[in-house]
Amino acid sequence: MTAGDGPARQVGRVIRRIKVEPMEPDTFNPFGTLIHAGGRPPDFRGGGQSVGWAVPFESDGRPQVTVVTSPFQGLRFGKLERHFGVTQAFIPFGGSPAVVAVAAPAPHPDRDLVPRPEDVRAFLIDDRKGYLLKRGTWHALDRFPLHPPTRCSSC
Amino acid sequence: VARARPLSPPSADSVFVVLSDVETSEDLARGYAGSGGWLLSQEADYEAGSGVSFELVI
Repeated sequence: MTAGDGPARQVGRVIRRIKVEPMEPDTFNPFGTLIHAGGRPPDFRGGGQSVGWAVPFESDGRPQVTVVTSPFQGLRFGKLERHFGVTQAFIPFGGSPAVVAVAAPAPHPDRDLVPRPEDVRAFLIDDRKGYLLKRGTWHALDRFPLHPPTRCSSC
Repeated sequence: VARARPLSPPSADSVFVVLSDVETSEDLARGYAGSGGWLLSQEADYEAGSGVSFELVI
């Protein structure tokens, strides 16, 4: 597990620093899969020249596609969440580079089990690849843009 | 020589297309609104529960 420099203490609380890792298929595998073209033979060939790669999306409910914006809010957080009935997918759609924080799903959906703080990891999202979380993968409530708003003197 | 000038500042927001399901989204919205929910999702609040917060280090 990668856990940055370990915990730092302030009065009455602990700040756990998490070193952001590149999002690679093997390092991200405990949490989900990357969404991208290539890397293996295509799963789909139609009548034209296009080919496609299937994404193992699963849902117990009605699929929903949403465009979500996440504002810059700094790089600290205190909550994780997980979903039992869907493998959520996130596909970059522009804007600032961002980081996602995750923790591996438990083998069973035991609500008394939450990840240890030292098991939370963070990945820099490749703006050319999406990612699909496994069912029950814990994740921060937001993606975290890296950069605060900037002024544009020539706009 | 003409210089290229940006038309607008770079966005500080990150934008994603999210593929989920209606039931999870509605359950989550009810949960965070305090009107039920949490049947399909679970939240772990480390800050409130144990005073732990996380800081991302680039």
